[in-house]
Amino acid sequence: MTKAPSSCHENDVPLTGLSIALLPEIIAHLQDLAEKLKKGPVFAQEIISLRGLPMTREDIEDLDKHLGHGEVNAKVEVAGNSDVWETSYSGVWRVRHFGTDDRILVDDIVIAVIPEILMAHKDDISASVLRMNDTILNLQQDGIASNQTKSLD
Amino acid sequence: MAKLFKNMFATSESTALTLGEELAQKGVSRRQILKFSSYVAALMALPASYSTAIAESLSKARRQSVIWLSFQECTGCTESITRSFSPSLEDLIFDFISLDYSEALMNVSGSAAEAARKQAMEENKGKYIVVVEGSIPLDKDGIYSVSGGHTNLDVLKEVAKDAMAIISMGTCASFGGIPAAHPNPTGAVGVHEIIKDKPIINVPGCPPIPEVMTGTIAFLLSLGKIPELDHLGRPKAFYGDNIHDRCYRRPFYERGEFANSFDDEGARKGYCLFNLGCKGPVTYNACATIKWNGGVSFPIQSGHGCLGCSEPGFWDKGSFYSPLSTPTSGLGKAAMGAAAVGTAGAVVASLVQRKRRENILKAAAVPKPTETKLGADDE
Ligand code: SF4
Repeated sequence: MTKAPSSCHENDVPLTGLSIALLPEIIAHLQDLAEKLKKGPVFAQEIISLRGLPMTREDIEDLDKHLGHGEVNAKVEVAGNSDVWETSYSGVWRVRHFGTDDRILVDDIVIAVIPEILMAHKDDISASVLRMNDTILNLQQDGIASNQTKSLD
Repeated sequence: MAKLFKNMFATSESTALTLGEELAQKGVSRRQILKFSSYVAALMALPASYSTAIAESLSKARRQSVIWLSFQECTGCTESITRSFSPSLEDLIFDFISLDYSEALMNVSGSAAEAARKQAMEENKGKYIVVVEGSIPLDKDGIYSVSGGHTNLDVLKEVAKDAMAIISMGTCASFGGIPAAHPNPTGAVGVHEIIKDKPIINVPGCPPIPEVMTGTIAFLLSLGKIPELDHLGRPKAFYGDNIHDRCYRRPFYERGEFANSFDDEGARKGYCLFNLGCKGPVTYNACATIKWNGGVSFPIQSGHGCLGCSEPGFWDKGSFYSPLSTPTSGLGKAAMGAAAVGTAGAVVASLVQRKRRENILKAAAVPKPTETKLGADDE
């Protein structure tokens, strides 16, 4: 896991209480999601953006301490790195996108079955069909070519 | 770096494709666009769930032609935005625009550069965005700042005529800034005092936060609209909050715990910097939340009061080190008023964020992404 950048006043920055204040908001979304899922599988995600809140590094660390670490850890390597992990509360995820120098650009709490960033997009899937088709055709042609060479021997 | 500049100066071939197609050709997955969109949504305080809608419209858009004009300025704003180059996610904004003219960044010079500007204006008539950096001198018919034989005033009027919108980047272009500081020897003014018939977005700051600049451009690009602006023409998403209301030192202010010099006990304990001249209570900007250098810190976190650089006339409002309650130039009263409001402090920040986001959405009329049944086609 990449470390959050340090502030200039590491020891001076206090806890503002915002980490605790966020927990009721998270549980409200989680409850919503649980209700929706009772009616069948849906894709819905609620996101709380921590970078839009005046939280100190200590606040965010404190929040992560309360949320804990769950069973899933993922890395997304596109346009810089991203860490995605499920917290100890199933359905509550942390999504963190980094710039270079490990600077945090997006720091979100995502309440969802699975965060959208982990899902494959339908356009990419369509492109994959074409690409895999090309690969199969190439392999088949290679196969035909090598069989022809063999039969010539 | 070289690659990034190449990305910005698009070829005419690439401007014909949609961004989705262009990126697909380069082997860029949609996850990358989604990631960028969530970054923009986070910056603009849009609910992050709108990132899906933004990603969709971005991939259908075409490269946006941008003409960047540099007038009376220090190039600090260009410096600030180009510093946001190195992180790879922010780079993507430069895949989305075609910077057709920028004296500071383009390779060509002289008449070839002028020809490039004219060509971009012709080809994208009514559709290009003009970014202005620096103030415009009006005294003596604008003779104080001339480039290629044309005054800034003439160039601005000519380029603005067929523009879709103008972004005044930095405090100089927005309000006159330092060139307009007393005694304003060149008669410098901001863009809005000259151009009256085009939408103008003021993005002040000396310099503005890079994310605020790229965020404003990305908003225009992905939603095709002018973001909601405050009474000074600034996007509310970034300038809607008072530094003082979002400042992590605010609890000390409430308790009356102040630093009284830069090396006293209070300063070491991280107390409020009001007595050291902090202009946070009368300043609107995103420094306390987005911060600087990718969220590492901002002036107040580094131990110095806010200078109020995103406000008109910040240079002429008395010493940076006299407390606001010291009546220097009429600021005292305003400060006392502002400081007295919003005592609820940082704990309501989440609510503030939600309220602000609702207003932004109303103005932008972003379609709410509908929930999708798993496995169903979302079209
Ligand atoms: S006066 Fe300045 S340092 Fe003090 S709480 Fe307000 S913004 Fe923060």
